[in-house]
Order: sequence, then structure tokens, then C-alpha cells
Amino acid sequence: MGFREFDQGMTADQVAQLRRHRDEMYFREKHEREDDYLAILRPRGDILPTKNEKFELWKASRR
Amino acid sequence: MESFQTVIPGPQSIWSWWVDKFPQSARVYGEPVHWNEPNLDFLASALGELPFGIVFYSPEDRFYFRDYIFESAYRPTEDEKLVVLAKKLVTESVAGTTRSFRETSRTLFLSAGEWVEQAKSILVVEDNFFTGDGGQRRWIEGHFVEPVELPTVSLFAESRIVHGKGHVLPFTEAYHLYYAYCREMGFPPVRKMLFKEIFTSEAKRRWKVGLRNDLKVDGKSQQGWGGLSVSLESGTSEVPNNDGQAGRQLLIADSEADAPLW
Repeated sequence: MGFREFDQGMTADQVAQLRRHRDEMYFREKHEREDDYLAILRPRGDILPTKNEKFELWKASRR
Repeated sequence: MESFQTVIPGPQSIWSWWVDKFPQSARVYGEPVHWNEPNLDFLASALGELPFGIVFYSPEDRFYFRDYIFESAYRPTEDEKLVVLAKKLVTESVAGTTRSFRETSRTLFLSAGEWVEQAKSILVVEDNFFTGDGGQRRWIEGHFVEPVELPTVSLFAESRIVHGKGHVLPFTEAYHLYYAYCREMGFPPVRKMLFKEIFTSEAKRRWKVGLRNDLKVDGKSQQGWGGLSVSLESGTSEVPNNDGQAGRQLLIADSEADAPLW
């Protein structure tokens, strides 16, 4: 990261937003990988929430 | 002086995917392959190091995992599913690697069933993992099972089963009465096959009685337990336990008096 973003003419707000987005993407990827494993262990026929709701539940479970 | 404390990284291990992903298991058990043989201890431990806390609960002879969808309650799962998960880990570990490494990893893939067997000892938890104060909450058959309760099958065995010579308890009748007991007490009953599994292990643990396929009832062979019967009223007696804890103790017929209770 460093000052590279500022060199590209980004504001501090934009940099913060970009970082938040990167973190979110990272956690989404991590969640999806974990959820793939869980999909194997869960029984068939589970009624599961939507992808976004699952992500929110997963984040909450890690707090 | 500081230079002595610096950890000098060794050559990159071919097993670095495993070691990075399961550092705790690697620290305790070493690398996933030792002397060209799968290191089952490492692999079994690795399953438990996945973020959803896989454990083996021996009273029910099955694995559990924590599911964040159900408030992080533990859910039961099958051995075969764990084998599939183990194979998925091996497949991930070889993605983008050399052909020779994929060949070496084949031994891990083929041994997935053995890791799961080994996990039954490496990942075993205490019998009170799901019961009593500090016990874990479970989600079974669409219901939360709170840790303060004994499993419904155990409660049924404790309060409704008597042990004595000449008794016979056919499986179908046992389940029917268990179901009625759950309705009466407001408990969610477990499925028939799960009942059989849990009750068999309860009967073995409490009375050293195994499930038989050759019980004669009205001249027909049935599956069930010899030496056990259901008593709706007089099955239990309020006598103190030997260990001084408040509770109920089952009355045993004289001829079976030396059979262990637990």
C-alpha cells in the first residue's frame, strides 16, 4: 500500500474506501472457501439463507 | 546476540501448503508424510484445525462440527462426509504443483479413510462435552439441544428402562415407547435409526448389553436387547447413588446385581 495510491491522485477517503473494499473481498473469499467445506459436512436438504445473509452470519460468528 | 534469536528459514518444504494451513498440527505432529507414508496423526489433527471445530463424540460414535448458520451450534455429520472433505483438502493442496508432487500426494488421497479413523482418537472430546454446565449447544434434527440436558435417549434410558433377567426389549417397541416418552415430556424425538445407534451405545455403557438380531418374541426372531424392559411406572426407585450425588438409580435384579451400572 504505502503512498502509492496518493501518487495516483487518490484522496485519503478513496484510499480508505479501497482498503475497505479489499478487506471485504478478502473476507468474502475466505468465507466462500470455508462454506465449501461446510457444504460437504452439512446434510442435504438444509434450508440455508442467501449468500449475503450467510456472509453476514459468518462475520458475526467470528466476532 | 540478537542474531542467535533470529529464525533462519529452511528450504521450502514440498508440504508447505499443509504446514501453512495447519500450523498447529505441523508443530505437534510434523509433516503430512513421514518416510513415504501418510502421517495419519497430522492429517487427523488437521481436520480438527479447520475453522469449524470438528470433534469426535464417542458416546454417540460420530463426528460433530460447528455450523455458523445455526448460531455456531454443533451438528452431527457422517464419517463418509469427512472422507470427502479430506480428499478435497488433498485436491486443493496439489493445485498448480508439479506432476511428481501430485504423484506423491496420491498416497494422501488414498489414505483419506484412514485419517478419519485416526481422527476418532485424535479429535475425541470428553463424554460431557455436550452436557452439564459449560457443555456445548447442538443443532440436531431441526432443534437446538441445550447442553444442560442429557440427550433424550439417555433420559429415556435412565428413567424408563429396567434391567433384569428374562426381560426382552424389541427395538421397534423401544422406539415406540421412546417416541411416546418424548411426546409426554415435550422433547423432540430423534429418528429411528439414530435412536438405535444412541440407545445401543447407552445400553452397552450402562448395562453391558449389546443389540441382538436373534431375540425370540412370540416365536419370531427380532432385533432388540435381552435383559432390558420398559417400565412406565416402577422402573426406577428413589435411592441415593453410591457417589452421594442426588439422583436416581436403577434397580437391578439380584442375578444381575454385579453387572456394572455405568
